[in-house]
Parts: sequence; C-alpha cells; structure tokens
Amino acid sequence: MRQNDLLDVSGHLQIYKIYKDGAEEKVYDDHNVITSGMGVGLAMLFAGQGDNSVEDFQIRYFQVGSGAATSYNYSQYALEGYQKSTGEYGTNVVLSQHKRMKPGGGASTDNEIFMLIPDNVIKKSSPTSVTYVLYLPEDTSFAQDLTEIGLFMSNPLSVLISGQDRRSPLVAYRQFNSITKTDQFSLVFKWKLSF
Amino acid sequence: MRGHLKVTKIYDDHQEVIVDDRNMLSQGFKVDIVSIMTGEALNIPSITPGYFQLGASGMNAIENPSIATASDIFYHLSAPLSTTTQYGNETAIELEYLNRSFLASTADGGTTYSEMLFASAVVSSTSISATLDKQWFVPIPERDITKNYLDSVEIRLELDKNTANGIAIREFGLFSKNPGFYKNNKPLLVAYKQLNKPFTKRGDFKLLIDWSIGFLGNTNIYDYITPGYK
Repeated sequence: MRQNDLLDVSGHLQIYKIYKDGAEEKVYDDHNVITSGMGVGLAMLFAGQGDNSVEDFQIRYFQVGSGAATSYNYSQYALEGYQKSTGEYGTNVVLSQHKRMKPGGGASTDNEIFMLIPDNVIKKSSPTSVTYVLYLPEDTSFAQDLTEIGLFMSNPLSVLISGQDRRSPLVAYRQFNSITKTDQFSLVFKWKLSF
Repeated sequence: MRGHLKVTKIYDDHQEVIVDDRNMLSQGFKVDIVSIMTGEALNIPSITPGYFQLGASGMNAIENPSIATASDIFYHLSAPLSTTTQYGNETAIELEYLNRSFLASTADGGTTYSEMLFASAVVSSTSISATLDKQWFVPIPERDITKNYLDSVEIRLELDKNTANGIAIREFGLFSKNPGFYKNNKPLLVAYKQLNKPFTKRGDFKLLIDWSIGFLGNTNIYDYITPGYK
C-alpha cells in the first residue's frame, strides 16, 4: 500500500463573466499553482508562532494583474504586473494597501493594492477543501487586459514583525487567457483549494 | 508539504539513527488547515501539535494485508500503548488520559455514523467528533516545537531511559491539541509513521524523535534562506 507522504495541496480556478441581463459565460477552467508562501504560512501556523489571531493565517486578499511570465511555478512570490490604479477598482470593492512578503520573509519596498476577501465568500467545500468566490463588480474596469490572479495569506509573520505593516505572502497563483474587464459584466473567480 | 521523521538511539557513548524517512501527513492535518482557512478555528494553539503516541503495530498493508486501498484517512494508531505501565513506571513523561478526535461518516443515509477509516464515504461529517473512551497521550511541551527554517516546523520528542522499555515500537503518531475546541483537549492525528519492522526500546538508550513538517525536500525560494530563524 502506498501511504501518502506528501500533502499535495492543489487548486482549481474557474472564471465566469456575469452580464447585466443575468447571462453567465465560463471563460476559464483549469488548475492553479500553489506557491511556497503557503508553506511559510502553514509552518508558522503549526509552530504556534503566530499570535492568537486566526485571521493572520487566512487567505483574505487577492490581486489581479496584467503580467505574463513565460513560465511560473511554486516559487512565484508576486504577480507579474498587478493593477496599481486605485481608481480603476471602482467603488464596490474593499481595498487594502499594505506590504507583500518577499522571499525570505522580507517586505516589499512599497505598499501594494490588495482586494479584501470578505467572510461571506469563503466556503467550506468539504472537510479538506475550501472555496473562494471572488468578485469584480461591473464598475471595476481596467485599462489593461487581465491575465493573472493571486491569493494572499493575511499576515502569517505577525508575531515576528510586531509593530510593522501587514505583510501578505502569495499562496496561490494562476495566469489565464486575456480578459478585457469592462463595465458590461462582472467577473467571478471561483477558486477551490484542496489540502 | 511533507513530513519527515528521524529517530535516534542515544547511548552513553554513541548514537544510532534507526529511522530517517518521510512520514505521512494524515487527513487530520488537512482538516486543521481548512478549519483555519474557513474561520471555524477559534484559536491557534488548539490546532498546533500537542501530543504524540507510540504504538506496537501498523496501519498500512505491510501489517494488515487485507487493507488494499491507499489512503491517508485514518485518525488513530493501530495499537497505541494503552497503559501507563507500558510507558514505564519510572518514566519522566507526564501522560494525559484523553478522548481522541476523529471525523465520522455514514453509510446508511445518516442513521448511524462511525469513525472514518481508509475510505471516504459518500456522506461524511464536516465537524469533529470524539471517542467515548480515552487513551494515553504524551504531551509535547511548547519548548519542543521550534522553527529552523521559515517554511517548516520541527518537533523534538525525547523518551528517556526509563520510558517504554521492553516495548516493541513500530508506529508513531503526532496529534494536534484540540481542533474541535472542546472544553478538554481531544487530540486529532495529523501525522503518522509506521516502521518496516519494530524495534525494542531498552533502558540503555534514550530515544530522540525529530519530526519535521514543511516544504521539505523541495528546492524553493524560502528553503535555507534564513537558517536559525526563530
């Protein structure tokens, strides 16, 4: 009998356009890449080296971007070109501007823009999987086509960087076929992580 | 994520590594992670490693040929030491007698539920249950949980010369403390290792058990960047 000695965290991403008349179009459906930041966060978690805040270890932020790396894998630690113009996000998403975690645990030089993942879109799919339903409303409209998305853990190093800004590591990443986000439709990212 | 187990006999004048191998991260490890991610977890300490057990048998097919399905879905050791006498009357370990946590499933549409074992059922409980009977667990002090690398956690356990002597040890289980957030701790199995053959603990050596969990064995951007990181 083969015993599973590897916890093979996997993820699956579906992207839907939701038009104003209610029509729904699936434009993407594929696996994703779990990145090394997930290992950092989970190791901190199981070492008990966080404060008592569960939220620090939750995936509470995401970014979308327009970058296009020729290849990527678990060592990805940032989007290639996340959307930097706050005005393009519209008025119906909650933004946070804070640091991103770099390799080795350091902080990005500048604050970056993250979209908050609210409690009500985090669903337990099974005892060992969780689904995030991420939403870009109609009034979110970017000048550049979207080609990438990333999930970020909130602040797993909090106990080590006490007093410093939040520092979120990338934990899952995916590039997808170019999507021009206009005000004609909402964009829904349905992302399932299986542990 | 991987787990790795190293077991070393410490004699007065030399050491002998008897196990240096991967282990299994069991279903309970995943249950703990999802509990955190979905906000069901009430605090962090309850899901950290809190206990371990020794056992004399094994959960996999080497020991039980009738089990044909590869699975990490089990929540107990095959034959955990069941009396304080087995751990030793002179042991320095302070044992705790606790109910054990598990996930249940039903095969009859929900009329009866029982502990999941090896196969995932059509209908499984999403909340943690606990056994009615109790078992002996060895507590892991917080000081024995450390971090040498940013993306891994290391747990060191020691069985002194007075512990478990004469016992043929074949399996090790690592348990999170109390992921069901019960009033009293009810440990959940998160990692498991079965040896190919048992070894007998004796009074002329201590046993050091080094358990690591993390992105082990993968070369990645975080490994070894911050050795000694605490």
